[in-house]
Amino acid sequence: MEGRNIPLAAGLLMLPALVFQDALLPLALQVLFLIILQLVIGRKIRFLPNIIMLISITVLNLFQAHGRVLADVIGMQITQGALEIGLRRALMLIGLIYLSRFMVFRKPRFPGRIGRLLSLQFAFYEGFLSRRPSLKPQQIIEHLDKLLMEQEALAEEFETDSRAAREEQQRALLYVLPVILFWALFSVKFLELPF
Amino acid sequence: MRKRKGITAADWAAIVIVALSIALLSMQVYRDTGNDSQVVIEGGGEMWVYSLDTDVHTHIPGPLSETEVIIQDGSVHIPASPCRDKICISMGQISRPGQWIICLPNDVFVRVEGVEAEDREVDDVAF
Amino acid sequence: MMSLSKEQQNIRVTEIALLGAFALFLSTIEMVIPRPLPYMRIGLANLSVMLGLAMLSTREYFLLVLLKILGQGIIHGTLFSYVFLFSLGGSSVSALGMLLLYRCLGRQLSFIGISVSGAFLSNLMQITLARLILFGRSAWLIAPPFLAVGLVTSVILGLFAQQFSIRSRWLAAKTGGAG
Repeated sequence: MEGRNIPLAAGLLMLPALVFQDALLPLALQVLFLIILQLVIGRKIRFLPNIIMLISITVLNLFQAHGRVLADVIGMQITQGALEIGLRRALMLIGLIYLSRFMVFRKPRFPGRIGRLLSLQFAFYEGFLSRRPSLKPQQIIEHLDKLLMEQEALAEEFETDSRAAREEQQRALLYVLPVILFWALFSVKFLELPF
Repeated sequence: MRKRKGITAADWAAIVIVALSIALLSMQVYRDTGNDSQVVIEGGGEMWVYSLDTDVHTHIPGPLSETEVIIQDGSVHIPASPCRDKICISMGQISRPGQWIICLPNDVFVRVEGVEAEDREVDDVAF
Repeated sequence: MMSLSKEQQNIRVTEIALLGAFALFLSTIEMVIPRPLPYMRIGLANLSVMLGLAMLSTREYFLLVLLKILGQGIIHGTLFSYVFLFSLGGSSVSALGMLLLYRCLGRQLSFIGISVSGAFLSNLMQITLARLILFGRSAWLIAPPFLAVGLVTSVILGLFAQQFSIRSRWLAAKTGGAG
């Protein structure tokens, strides 16, 4: 397997351990693990979007009362069941997003003709990004137009770097560790803690 | 055709259709909020709230022991309770707002809250 | 060799990939603009889809939509999450609707109407999926403001797209000036 596809495979192995997690505390641990994994691979984590997502999804789920009433806030009851469901959905989403980012961080190559189309698309995309932005609102259409014409003129076959792929193969074993750790965290749910 | 710079009548039609749909949806959503029947259970100073639409099998703790409460198919009942006379069990299934079941010995009070659709009609006659 | 067979099928690989990349680029710009909520998207990438409407064949158009969905999933790192499902559902319903409207009512509708319809379909689909997966019945509570904002942004986007399609020399070259 190519080096660039290894995180994808590892992530796919980890996916069921996340999706089938129904206990709250192990899920939180797993999400924490995935965040740490992001830092390990060198990605930066922005806390604000996560917190907004966590709060908004949880709050919206609180509207549907379920279970023991914990508090009464501005005429709305905060129930334990609704809180747990909301937290679980929010954490699950955050976890899935970080797992996804992990899976694609080495720009895996997808099979088939779609794969080639995708590669070409990303090549053009990098091309768009590397141009200097022009910030004149009146000429924004002309600017975008120019981008399109320039990129098309540069359209050549983009060859992949096979040397880097061979080096990645030796590091494949490194990816076994997070998979095992992740499944270990998954099995915390069998301890049947209060959460 | 594409060279035309202005907004067309059909464009306006699309915008109006979408705007009307949004308005209709808002009316639907904001009228229905709070009108779904809920099951409120009180016992020992605590309160539990569930939607009548859900399936719930829970145990409410009381001075004697636990009273079972089951919400299923849009109705609530008590299948088992540690009280001596089991009156609460014999009160059967409730499903309409205003109805209630009580187990005094174990301090469990189950009631259905909400607004019946029929209550919005003016023509109801009560005797 | 694969691009050869694509050309034999008359699928213009370069144009599709270019428009797809353009969609990703627009989507990236949109991420940079500060937004009140993570969910509120202006859908700038739809400009690219509408350009595709104007210049691609049906099969090419669907390939573009597929590329856009996959590409966005990859660069935003949401490929294997619920968000991807929302994107998939919203984009496909929207793309299909816009295609039908463009083919049937293309003379009467400008990109404004197409943009508004496409955005409405997409948002509606996304709310439905959100109701099923993320929020439960409460999803409908945020539906009206979400859809209202979508209406406003899609009108603006449609205006922009219409202007772009008129003034773009690139597009003119691709469509042979027929618009």
